[in-house]
Amino acid sequence: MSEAPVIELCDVTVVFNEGTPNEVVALNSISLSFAKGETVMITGGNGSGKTTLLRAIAGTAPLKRGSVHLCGRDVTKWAPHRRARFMSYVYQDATLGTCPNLTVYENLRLATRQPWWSLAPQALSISASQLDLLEKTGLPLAAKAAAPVSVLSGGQRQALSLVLAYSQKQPIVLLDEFTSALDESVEANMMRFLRTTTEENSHTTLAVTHSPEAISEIASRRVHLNMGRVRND
Amino acid sequence: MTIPGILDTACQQGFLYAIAVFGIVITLRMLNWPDLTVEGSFTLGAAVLAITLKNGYSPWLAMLLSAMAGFAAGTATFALNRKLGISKILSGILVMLILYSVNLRIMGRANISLLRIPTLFSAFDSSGIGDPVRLAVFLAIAVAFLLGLCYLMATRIGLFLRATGDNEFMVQSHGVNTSLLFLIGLGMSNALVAVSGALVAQNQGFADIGMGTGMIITGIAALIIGETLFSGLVSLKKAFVRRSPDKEFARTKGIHLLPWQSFGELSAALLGAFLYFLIIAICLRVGLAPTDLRLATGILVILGIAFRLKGPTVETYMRGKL
Repeated sequence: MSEAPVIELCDVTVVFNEGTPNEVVALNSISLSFAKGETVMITGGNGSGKTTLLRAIAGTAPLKRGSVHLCGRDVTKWAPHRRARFMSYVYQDATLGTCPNLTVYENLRLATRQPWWSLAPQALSISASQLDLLEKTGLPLAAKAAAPVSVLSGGQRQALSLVLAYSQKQPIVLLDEFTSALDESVEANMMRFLRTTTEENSHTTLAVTHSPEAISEIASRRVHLNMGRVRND
Repeated sequence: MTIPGILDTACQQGFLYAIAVFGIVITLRMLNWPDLTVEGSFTLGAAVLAITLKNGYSPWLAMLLSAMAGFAAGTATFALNRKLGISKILSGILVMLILYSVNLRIMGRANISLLRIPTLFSAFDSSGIGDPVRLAVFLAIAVAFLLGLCYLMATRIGLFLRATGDNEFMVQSHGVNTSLLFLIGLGMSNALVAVSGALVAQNQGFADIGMGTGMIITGIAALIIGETLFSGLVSLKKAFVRRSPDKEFARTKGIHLLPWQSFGELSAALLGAFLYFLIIAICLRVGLAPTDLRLATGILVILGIAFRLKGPTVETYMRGKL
């Protein structure tokens, strides 16, 4: 018997500005499922619905019709923060994925899997697994643990976002054009990071990208969207 | 007023108002929420305390009720913003406005005298204990609140509170309901302000409907003065003290970072509250009319902000000298 999918979208339709002259059907009756450990590349032109697909899974794009199941649970009516217990999200804009006025260390503490309401004092060191992830980025992030995130470069911030996403050890990782603002050397670092982390773990990773060649070597499947519909799978 | 008299006034007021400034630090600096509710919750704390004491209850119970009333005021502001979608500023203004009438309802009149009613500070009056002990107790109260808040901010919930003001979106993506964190933060902030109001009322011997007016600008002035001076001291330390490689290594491992992040902000608030009331006492001593104090406070805030934005830092000054 095959394993139940980690992500299951049934007849998902997302419409923005409904009933106005600016109405846009961002996703049109999409039905997709993703298995455990799959690394899927989501491609398509501008406005094809790639980011909306991730947002529909994360719960930040309201569904007009359809349902979303994560890890076997119907989460269609769940708020984004509840769904986030199953997933990590890395945004195209690195500023969205980190707290700029907190230090690198404090950002890393946020991503540990402990209840947020704990009144116990925080551990005063970075965990070994997080240090390992920091080293895998190939950037000197560990040496900047005490610095506020606002002083990091864009590439370093995006690398930190990736580390935060993977250190949460969630079953699902959503990557939204996370290399689009990076130069070639940093992008190569990020790809090396992704390759080693996906090999070592069994996350289901959905990566939206405009440059399929960069991610093709780690992706096991490609979903191509056009005008809110699946064209190739 | 003599110099010891000026210092005495500055310490008494500064230490008790510092607790309210801690509350303002939580909303303004940590939650990034300029909360005007404090203008009403300061008086609310004093009003609840006065009426509870007037009815013969224990001062400790009165303090607890004041804190709870303050928390409720913060909750009201939270509900207006998060549940009805009213802007943060307007939510605070509306609750402040409503609290004026509520406070009058609670007190029954504009002023309640606490003379000959047992308060937390009655021991100082009846046993003839002098002002130095009273000041030491006030300082101890302020420091106890400071250390308690430092501890809280070093815990996971404190870290998430600060992160919520910094990037709410990111905190949500960690699976945390940020509305709950805003509720806790706003409630706690207004509870602290109400406790400060209750302590000030006991110290001055009366609760008055107008005692919270200008609280937000007093708090901001204290904060700006404290932060300006504190950042100056930190830069001075940086200019003279070179960090050893070993300490650098310790820092990279995150050692000793968390507990001190908020300590700086909160210590600056305590220092600023004392200095603010010292400056006000000096202004009165040199003959400034009490009616001009708002003008003096406004100018003080402008000068503080201008100095921080445009003035030379200690580091750049020292670099030029050394």
